Formats: sequence, structure tokens, C-alpha cells
Amino acid sequence: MAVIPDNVLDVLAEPESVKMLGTVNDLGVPNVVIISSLSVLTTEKIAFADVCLGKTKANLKQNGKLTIGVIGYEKKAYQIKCKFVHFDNRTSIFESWYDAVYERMMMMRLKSVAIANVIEVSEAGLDLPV
Amino acid sequence: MDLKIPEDVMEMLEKPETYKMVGSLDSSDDAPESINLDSVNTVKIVGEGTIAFPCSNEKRKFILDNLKKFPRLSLAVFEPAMVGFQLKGRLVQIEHKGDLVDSFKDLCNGPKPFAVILMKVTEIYALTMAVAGEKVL
Repeated sequence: MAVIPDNVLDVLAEPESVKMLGTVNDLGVPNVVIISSLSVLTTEKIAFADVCLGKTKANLKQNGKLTIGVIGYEKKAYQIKCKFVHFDNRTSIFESWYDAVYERMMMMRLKSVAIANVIEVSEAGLDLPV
Repeated sequence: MDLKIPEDVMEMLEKPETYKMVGSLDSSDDAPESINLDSVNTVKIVGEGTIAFPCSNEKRKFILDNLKKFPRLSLAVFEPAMVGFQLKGRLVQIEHKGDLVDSFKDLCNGPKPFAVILMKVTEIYALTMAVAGEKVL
């Protein structure tokens, strides 16, 4: 496992930062979606909401490979490679997120909370902002 | 028949203020081991179903080698007004010189690109919350 460094934690905590989630299926087709709710449980473990994950959920069940991308202030970007652990819908994390997600996500219901372990963190960006 | 990227998607792609990330595969051997997610700030439409974006980050140069091995790509574009799309497709080619590379050099304010990635878009999906996952084209 790896630890998310402070500068990346800061970007994840920015209210305006945009988070995306990349997965891949067993045929090698990448899938990238927006994540509405993400939380750092420990510096080695993250959680994100499953509100309407379709292909993403199927891909995670197939191979557990995922990468979180975050773009923060001035478009500085990082990627966090992770290993999927499980979908949680029974513990306190799920309960504590349920109402907040329902209110924030246009009355869409939280199906589960995905838990993942951090493997590697790096800067990411093909064309760096100025 | 080639896919025609809808006008609203084209506008979002070419707007510098939208958030864009490219997903590609990574591996030291023939089987993909992980996904790389890289932000891109500048995207150009170069044909009906083809888009192009530059690589100017030396530290991410290995993405170009990965794309030659695993040509499938996915680009997500998102506007903070909660509108977004995912474009899936394949690598067409990587250009290192020529008019297209020069045009990106003119567009990019920061480090000048040393390569331009051309991607053929084959599918488009909605990422807007209420309709996320629906196939647009």
C-alpha cells in the first residue's frame, strides 16, 4: 500500500476539485466517470459513493483495478492508483453518507460505498497548466 | 460509418475551462496492469469523429508507448454545471511534427508539446448525473 501525501490530500479536500474514476474491463476497454462523493478514510484507504455506477461496478467486480484522478486549483492534476476492496452497505460509512447523498444528488439513492486501498500516487497531466 | 461528435460535446471539448481526463492502460508486459488518468487542457476536433490533444509533459511520455501497446482510450469531459460526457475510442496515430503539432504549440501557453495524440471516437456516453451511463452515440 502507499500513502496519499499531504499536497494531494489538500487537493482532494478542495470543494471545487473535480474527481474522476477510471476502471478497465477484462477486454482492455478503459472507462472514465465522474465521482460525486469521495472521502479519505485513512491516508492509505479511500471511499467513494456508488449512486449510478454501471460499467464501473462491473469492471471493479471483474478485476478490482481503479484509478482516481483529481484536478484541483489551477488545473493541477494527480492520480491515485488503487485496489478495490469491497462495496459496503451495512457499516457506519454507508449510513452516514446515505442522507447527504440523497439530498445532494437530485434525490438519487446511495446504493453502496466502494472501499479501495491506495497503491500509488503521482502527478498526472499530458499538457501541464502554466 | 464515422461517428459525428455532436455540437454540444465539441463545444465542451474545446472550451479551456472544462475539466478533461484521458484514461489509458499501463503495463510492463502484454496484459494491462492499471489505468492512467491524465488531465488534458487543450483538445481540438480534427475531423468528424477524430479529436486531438497534446503531450507536453516529459514525465508522462511513457503514456505514448503505452498507447502503442494498448490503443483503447477514454476521455471524460466535465463542466462544473454538472454536465459531462465520456468519449471512448482508439488511438489513430501519434504525431511528433507537422502542422497539427505546430498548431498546438501556438495554442498551448505552457510547455510546448512534443507530440499530439489523435483519437478516433467510437462511442459517447452521458456523465450528467440524471442520465449517467446512457449511450449518446
